[in-house]
Amino acid sequence: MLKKLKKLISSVQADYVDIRYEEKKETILSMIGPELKKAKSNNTDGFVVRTLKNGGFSSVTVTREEDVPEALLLAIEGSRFMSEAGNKYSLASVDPIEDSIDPKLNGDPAAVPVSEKIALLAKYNNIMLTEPEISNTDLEYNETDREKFFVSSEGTSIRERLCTLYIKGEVFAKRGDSLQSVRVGIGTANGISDLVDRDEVFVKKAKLARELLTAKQVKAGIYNVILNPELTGVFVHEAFGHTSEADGLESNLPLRKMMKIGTSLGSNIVNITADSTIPNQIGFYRYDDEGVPVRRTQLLRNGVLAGRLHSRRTAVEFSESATGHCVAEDQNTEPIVRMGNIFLEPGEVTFEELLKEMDSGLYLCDCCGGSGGVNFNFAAQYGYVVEGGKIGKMVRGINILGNLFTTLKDVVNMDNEMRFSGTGICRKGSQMNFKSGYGGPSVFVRSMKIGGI
Amino acid sequence: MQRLLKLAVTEGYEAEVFSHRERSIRLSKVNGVVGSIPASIYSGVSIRVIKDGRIGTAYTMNLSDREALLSKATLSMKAGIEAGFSFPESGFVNFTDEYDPLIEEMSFANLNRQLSVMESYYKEVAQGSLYVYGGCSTTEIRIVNTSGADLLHKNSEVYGTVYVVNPLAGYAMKNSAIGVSRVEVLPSDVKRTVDLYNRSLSEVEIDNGRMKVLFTPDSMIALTYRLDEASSAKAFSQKISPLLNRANQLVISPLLSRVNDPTANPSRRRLFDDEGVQTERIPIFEKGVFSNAYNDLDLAYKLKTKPTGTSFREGQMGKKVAQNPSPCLSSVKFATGDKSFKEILGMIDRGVIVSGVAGVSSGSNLNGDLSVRMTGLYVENGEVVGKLKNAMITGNIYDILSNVIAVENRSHYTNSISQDPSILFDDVQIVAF
Repeated sequence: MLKKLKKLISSVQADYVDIRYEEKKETILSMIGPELKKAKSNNTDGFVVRTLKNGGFSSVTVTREEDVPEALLLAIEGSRFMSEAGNKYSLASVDPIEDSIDPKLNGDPAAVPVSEKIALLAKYNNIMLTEPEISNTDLEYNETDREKFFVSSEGTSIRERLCTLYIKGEVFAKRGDSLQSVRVGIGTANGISDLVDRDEVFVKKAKLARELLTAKQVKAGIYNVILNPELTGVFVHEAFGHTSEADGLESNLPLRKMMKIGTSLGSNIVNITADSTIPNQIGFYRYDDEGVPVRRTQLLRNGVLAGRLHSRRTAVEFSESATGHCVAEDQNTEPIVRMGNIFLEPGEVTFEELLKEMDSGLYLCDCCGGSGGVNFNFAAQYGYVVEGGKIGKMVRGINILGNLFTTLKDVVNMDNEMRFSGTGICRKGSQMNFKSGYGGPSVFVRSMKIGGI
Repeated sequence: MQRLLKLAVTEGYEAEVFSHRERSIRLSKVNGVVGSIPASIYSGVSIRVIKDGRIGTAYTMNLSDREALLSKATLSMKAGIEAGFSFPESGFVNFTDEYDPLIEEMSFANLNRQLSVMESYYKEVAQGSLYVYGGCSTTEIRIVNTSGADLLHKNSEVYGTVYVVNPLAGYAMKNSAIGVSRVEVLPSDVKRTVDLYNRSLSEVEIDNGRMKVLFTPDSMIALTYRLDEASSAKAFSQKISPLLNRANQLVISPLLSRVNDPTANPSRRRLFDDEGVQTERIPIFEKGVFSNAYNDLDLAYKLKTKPTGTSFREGQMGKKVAQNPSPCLSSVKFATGDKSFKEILGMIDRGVIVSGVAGVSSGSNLNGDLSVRMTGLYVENGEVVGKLKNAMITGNIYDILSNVIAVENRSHYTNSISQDPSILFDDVQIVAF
């Protein structure tokens, strides 16, 4: 395939050209209640070409090989248009690489029959359905096995296989007219064995859905809060992570001024890192979709901005180095600047000590939607009232409203227990990225705005 | 497609073949400077086969090996997913009324010229940035099935959205426009957005409380997201809809009727859905009374009702063939009322205009509970005073939708499935910080 790709771009008249071909094998199984609703395994593929000519940079995605020549012509037309529109883009220099990567999987799903995967899904589904007052479930098994081939006119030639798995969905509890739901999910880039024997996750979420039936709606107001690791991760990803993506930042001049490297943005105990090299996390990969090796990137060190996430183009725009974060959702999309795994680093105290330090407020857990950016809002799946350093009654209907910079400054402390999400979906523009991991410890933040009733 | 269908027939299957081809170029600009210009040429084919009450599905982006695709569908069928329905006898349709072949060849420069014209309407913006996203595309959908249907839908569109952005305050107001051959801008809509934006530049603080709230078409999604989910046959089948057992009952204000009608969509007309069922006008609510849940073939069979022509394959960027059809409103709106926007504004002694919302799907949606961040403009005696700094709308959508004061006499294109008028509600809880 790599040879074929080299041939396809060999005659293109441009300053730079690359081509990516991906073959994607996916298995999707889903159950609603006791009923199997989807069971399909498919192979699909596609190409993405990008050209740089006289400062004009352009990309075209195409599904059929016979359409690649037309796509290359369209890309060159786009480069010409961009150049004439005054763009003078260039790409950060990187060493040409030849490599072939296969992940070390703890159980290759390709070797497991579909019937066993259905049985695994049905097992977790039944675990939830048999809990009292659980009225329904909506659960999906998703296995995406991508084999990517990347060739550039600079001599880079890479093959990388990425295998991502998750089981996730929702569990519904009902009592009379009261209906509550809780999101549930497990995921990995480390092989199918990681999805086995995880019964406790599904039992816990079903019980939570039931408990929510009697939880009181939180009162709107300003509270000291402790965010659990999942909510910490969501905050770090949605509010800070997206603001660290250079392609979104480059044309937002006021924000760009505020996000100057070396600026103190938060409490001096806050450290945030993007690291897609962690092998067992869902955001794992070795090379991005520009053929750049991804590297661990410290974004915030002791509250001071230390780095940001780049493509080769944005690295030049900011006079910084490429970080290997230019990633496409799949064979149908062009690469854009993306997080893989991102996390807030743990502190030193225990969770009990953190509760005592806060004394009173809310302990907020897990996330069920929201929107990110500098001004963010996230809904917590559930929470507890904390009084005298002790966890009390459960509350629901919690929506956190905040500003990134205020929140970073209002971080008081964090505990020493770090957890990753295991699953993650990130929408940016029209692309959805399932290889998006986030995490952190439990974090005590003062004076957060909570919408309720 | 016909060869694939014949192959399925030789296996003794009922079958449907769905093909999708799309060519598009897109362009984004910030303050007049072109930022990115992605383009795509997608095609794909999906097959569904039914035998002995079981269904199998498979798809490919490259139909080079028909036998392999059919084998995948057969394998899928062996998992035992039940299907009680048959593919519809929809005859022959060739709908190309909204197709302009010149759009196949539209250049980036031509698209940029159209978007620049759109941008030029925003000269009166006092301060802030202009983000422009637009594109043009041609789409071809063809469905053939063993019940004799051979349906073709071919359309073109040129579209654009202009966001007036206040980067530091972190909010934006927008207008969208679309047309078969060019973006058709409505200057009065732009003027309204620019006026509201210019009045939002000063911030005001108010006490929390219940007041009149005017939802603009772009913010109606905070209410309709939950309402439309609840009226889906999927929610009925899962028994999680709060509208269960509420058929023919008054659920929302009698001033509100909500109708899905893809045959009358001025910009994205469809004569059949993605399962080949003829589309039609389906009232979801008539004068506040819940009338119909919308469904697909599978759920229509299971719920013992007739298909509503509302089954679509969701998914962007060439993923249509990868998705199974499911219930989806494609062209829905609240019926218009009898007041102009200006008249409605004059009816607000103290209240808020919601010009945008964020995180609409957050929280538990099942009971209609709502707690979303908004861009809220505070109004006193019919005049916008300024923007609320941090504000949320909280409550329950069924309570809000039951308390309507007035409905605008025009609906607006918003680059979503819903094209609503502005609606003024009474007694809505606003939480401001």
